[in-house]
Amino acid sequence: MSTVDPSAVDLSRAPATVVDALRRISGIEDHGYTFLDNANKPTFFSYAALWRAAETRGLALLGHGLTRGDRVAMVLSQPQDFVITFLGALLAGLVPVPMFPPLSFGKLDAYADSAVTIIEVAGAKLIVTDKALSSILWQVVPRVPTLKDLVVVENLDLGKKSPGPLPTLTADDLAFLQFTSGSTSAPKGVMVTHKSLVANCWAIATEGMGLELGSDVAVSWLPLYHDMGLIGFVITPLFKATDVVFIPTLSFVKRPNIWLQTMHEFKGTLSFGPNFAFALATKRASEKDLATWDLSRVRLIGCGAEPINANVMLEFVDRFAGCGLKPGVPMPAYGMAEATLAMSFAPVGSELPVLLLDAEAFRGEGRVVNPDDDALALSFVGCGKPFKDHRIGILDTDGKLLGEDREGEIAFAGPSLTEGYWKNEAATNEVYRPLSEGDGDTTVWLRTGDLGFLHEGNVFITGRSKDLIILNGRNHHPQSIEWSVAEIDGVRKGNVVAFSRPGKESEELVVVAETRADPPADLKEAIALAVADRLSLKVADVVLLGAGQLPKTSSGKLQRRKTREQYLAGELGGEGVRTLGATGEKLTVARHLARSLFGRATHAASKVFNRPS
Amino acid sequence: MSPNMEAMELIKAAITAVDTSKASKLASIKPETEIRDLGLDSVATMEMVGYLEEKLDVQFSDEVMVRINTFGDLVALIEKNRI
Repeated sequence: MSTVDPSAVDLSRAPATVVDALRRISGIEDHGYTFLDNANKPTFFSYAALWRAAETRGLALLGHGLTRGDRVAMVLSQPQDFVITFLGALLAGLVPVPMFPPLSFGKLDAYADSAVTIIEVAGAKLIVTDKALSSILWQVVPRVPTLKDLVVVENLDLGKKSPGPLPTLTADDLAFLQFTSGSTSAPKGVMVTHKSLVANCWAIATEGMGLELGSDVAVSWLPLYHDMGLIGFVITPLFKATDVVFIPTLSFVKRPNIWLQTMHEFKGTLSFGPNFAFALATKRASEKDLATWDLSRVRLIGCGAEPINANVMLEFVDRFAGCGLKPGVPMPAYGMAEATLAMSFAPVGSELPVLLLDAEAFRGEGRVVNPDDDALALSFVGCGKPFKDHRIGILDTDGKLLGEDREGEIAFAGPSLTEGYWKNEAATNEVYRPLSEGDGDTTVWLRTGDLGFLHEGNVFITGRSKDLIILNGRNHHPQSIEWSVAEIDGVRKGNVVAFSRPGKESEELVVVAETRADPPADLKEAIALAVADRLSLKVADVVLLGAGQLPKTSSGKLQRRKTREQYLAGELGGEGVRTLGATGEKLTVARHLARSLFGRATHAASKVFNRPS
Repeated sequence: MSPNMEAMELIKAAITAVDTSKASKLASIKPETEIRDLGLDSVATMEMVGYLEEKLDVQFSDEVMVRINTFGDLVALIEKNRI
């Protein structure tokens, strides 16, 4: 077979669709995807082989009686199965619906329930899974009327195939449905078209990562049912024929060392992970690993999907400096599924963009002001500027654009914006809309639900106005936690608030509950156990309050944000209640952080930003 | 030590390796205790499984893992996989 030199293929312009992106590199034999299995055995697919495998898979999917536009639910835990099936479905004009596989240790009923809900909303006709998971997924089939069949991936290519040809797609075609992660009673499927995918992947590949043809090797353990793993590492690399090594997600979670070990073995140059993964990698690396690994080729490891802790990034850099890891490697990024994936990337290779600001002015008035030497400082990590042709704006409570250095809701506009939520017009209209009615500007902006500010064009994330709790990279709605606590004996129903606080490494879960007159002695423990049992989450702190002590609106609605603020300030429940993580500790942490960051980051900050005045 | 006790000791070592804050709870673990009741988060739980796999030099399949609820189930699985 002839080998096509990737430099002979014109990759200087964006293609129209993801299928076009794969087609134009389908002659390349010496670059492609390497899939590790559970035993770490690599299987290499050149881009030419990947194209052929995807074509076969696409015709096999069509052979199951599916037609263009039909949704296909995918529950596949092996990267090789996932990538080929996903690309095959795209080639066939089908709409894949990537779904998370069941996690270990029981709770299969709860898993089946959430799978049913997603498949029902998507109206999928077929489930593709693997042999190991098929017995679990078969239980789902009779519960969803649209489902016609379940097929195990091992048999897929052996069955009846469509004679073809595969359809010709356009940029406006729906590529796939990205269900937003996290436990919620009504999951929403973000409609990702080829147009927004191409816009976002092209921006990531060029402006964001500056992918180098033929020299970059990307390594990813990220779950492929999630936008960061799927778009960042399955789709974006196609645009520049970048080599990628895929590690099964569970292999990483079971043995976090495998991440950097693979970076070392495969001479990786770039990767991505949520904050917790950096902490885990730092903690679990052995002295032997440190003596063996060569990480000098690494250009960037992006950090996104959960709040970024500057200390964790600095410790990561310190820990692996002896392996040749460059200090500018951790690269903060900001994105969400509704924006296809990424909204902004910090510059590659620059030191961590940390900004210190006056706590009083920020907490009290939402203003970004340079801290005095003896004032309490807060630190935030910058996530860079929006891509070309894209805009990030900060909105006040009336939905009007604020200037720089003011906190408000982050909004996003540009060609990467997705089409909205599948069959959910109400939810779509709520967050995809013009800034204000009647002024003639019809630009649709996404209300991200995140809080933040712009400083010298760079976006800083300061909180989540949707109250979303992000733990280990997964989103959790506070309601699901609060509901599971509300049923416990001794808790006043409807008077529970869950939120996260910054921990030493990553966000930690806090539950505050009002109790009945004579609460059981072990109520705190019972609350922690209930949350662990039902949601597999670890509670870092439980605070019990008397009746009426939780902050509420005049109409009696719980105020999560205010509860959290009071908790962090040590003011919860009025005087006399002092909680863990409250004033004393918080002050010390902030001061310590301010000191350690000033030493290391002032240099970087002065380069990236002028200090706020 | 009986094989079951050995397996339980191994599980406790695995828990300690991934989350030192659980040390005080180890003594109260019984075979019928549900693993989730220990309050490990999902990442620590899988790290614990990884620890066991490495010590036993085996791979537990996803399909087997999802059907395990109690420490007794896990002990039985370890016993089955011990050479």
